[in-house]
Amino acid sequence: MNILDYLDKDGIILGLKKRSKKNTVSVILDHLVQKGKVESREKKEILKLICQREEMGSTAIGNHIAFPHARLTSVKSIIICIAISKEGVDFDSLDQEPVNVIALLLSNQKEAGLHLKMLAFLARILRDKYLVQRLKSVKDEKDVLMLLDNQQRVVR
Amino acid sequence: MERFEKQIIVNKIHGLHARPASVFVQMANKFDSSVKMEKDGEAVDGKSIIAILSLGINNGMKIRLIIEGNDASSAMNDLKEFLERGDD
Repeated sequence: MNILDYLDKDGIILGLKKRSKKNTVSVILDHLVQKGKVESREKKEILKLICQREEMGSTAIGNHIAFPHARLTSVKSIIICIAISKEGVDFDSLDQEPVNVIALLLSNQKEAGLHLKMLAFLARILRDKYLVQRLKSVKDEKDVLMLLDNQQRVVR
Repeated sequence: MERFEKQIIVNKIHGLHARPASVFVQMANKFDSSVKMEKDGEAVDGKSIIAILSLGINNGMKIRLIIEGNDASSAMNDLKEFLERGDD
């Protein structure tokens, strides 16, 4: 698996400001709409699904990362967005710590296998706390892609 | 101090994705024993959601639980039961 097959610089958000969890997800989805990765009319439904999933248990599972996700019929294959906040956003994390890296994952309803594989791959990449620290201080989107690319070579 | 090691076939329709992984970790954390989960020779901390997710465990996959500590026996019972229970 190569994360760069699913992620380009339009899928990266830097300087995410501190907001509520729902507003944070909303901002990420707006970005995906603006970059043409998600249809504008789908946004509301996706936001609802992600929030419903979060209510069942936060996807902010520690290590300052969160994996909000949803499986939908309207998405082709998989969409990933990596959003970074230097100050950290409140995402009801299980360890009560702020979240600095949000890896939002949208996958097609039929792609349960690929969904789990991508979740596993993102977890392998992001379980390194030094990487998360480095991601907090990148200059631009290209740096993020480079760091993730380097890390995936290590963990693959 | 007890040590138990068991091979388990995971019975979760969509695999050990984020939600069942966090339920597993919540259960594991109720015990003092250390919990390790191993797949294909790679062992990770069974009390860390991200570590478990990183194994990418699909439905029907074989894993090994290694539990060590004073309450290892009951931890093994509960965790094995959870993984083999066919839900989610």
